[in-house]
Amino acid sequence: MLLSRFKHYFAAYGADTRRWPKKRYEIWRWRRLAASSRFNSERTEAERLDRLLDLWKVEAAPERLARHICRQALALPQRPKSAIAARSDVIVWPFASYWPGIASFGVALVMGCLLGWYGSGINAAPSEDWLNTAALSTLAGDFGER
Amino acid sequence: MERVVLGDHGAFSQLVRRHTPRMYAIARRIGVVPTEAEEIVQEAFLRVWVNAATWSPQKGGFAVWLGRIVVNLCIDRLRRDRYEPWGDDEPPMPTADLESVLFQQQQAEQIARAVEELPMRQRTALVLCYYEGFSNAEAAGILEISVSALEALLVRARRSLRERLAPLIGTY
Repeated sequence: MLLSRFKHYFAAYGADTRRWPKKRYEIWRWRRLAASSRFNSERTEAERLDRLLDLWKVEAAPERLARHICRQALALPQRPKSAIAARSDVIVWPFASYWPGIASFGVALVMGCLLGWYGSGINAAPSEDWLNTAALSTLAGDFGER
Repeated sequence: MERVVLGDHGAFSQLVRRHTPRMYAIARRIGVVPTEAEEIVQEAFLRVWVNAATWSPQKGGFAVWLGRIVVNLCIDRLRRDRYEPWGDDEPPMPTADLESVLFQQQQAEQIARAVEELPMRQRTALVLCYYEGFSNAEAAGILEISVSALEALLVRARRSLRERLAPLIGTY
């Protein structure tokens, strides 16, 4: 694991490795590494903030709340699956979260192709004929031509 | 949850008892006052019961599904009415040594205020991962973002808190 990645975990999850992503073998490795002196500054900084954050406690949920919820909810009828099933006229796109990225990539690809196709003349040097004509036209007055 | 889908009252009661404390704590830490936190948890469980048939394990597990409902309800509630959450209805702390208790209470309030001042997504990410023990994948599922985006939120949240609580950090 890259050291920067390891420092990133201190910055994101704090000093307690139990809060880090749970992959057992890696946790074991991380714990050994976390205790090593090469991460002293990151660990100390994270521990200080952790100790402060741990001071903030909130009161427990009232005892009656769970009972009250059960009483209220169980008095209601459940909606049958058929009533909540997706309507046939609604198109549900698969992998919805990927579509904006795919669309952006597509647009960028089309723009790139268009630019490559039509934009080849943008930075091209002006033709020599055109330059010669322009230069001669300024000299035309000196030679009495109109 | 599969039993709840089939209308099993006992299974639902068990789920309610198991998840109510955690969901209530999420709502409170996100910044909802106690009475509204109770309403939110109740509303979330009512939705779970009524729409149980929509649940599927592919959605990331029951805790993630319920957490998403609670977080969304909290966000809606906080957007709708801004209020001062540090009112007189805070429960009294036990008084062993009044002076140190008051000092600790002041510090806790400062920390809570600093957390409350964080942008909503950073605050929610911190509450879910740090305080409520959700794994990064679960918290990312609740917030409907990628794990790397969640980590970025956590890093920013902790960096902001370190800056805001700098005077307090010096004493620890």
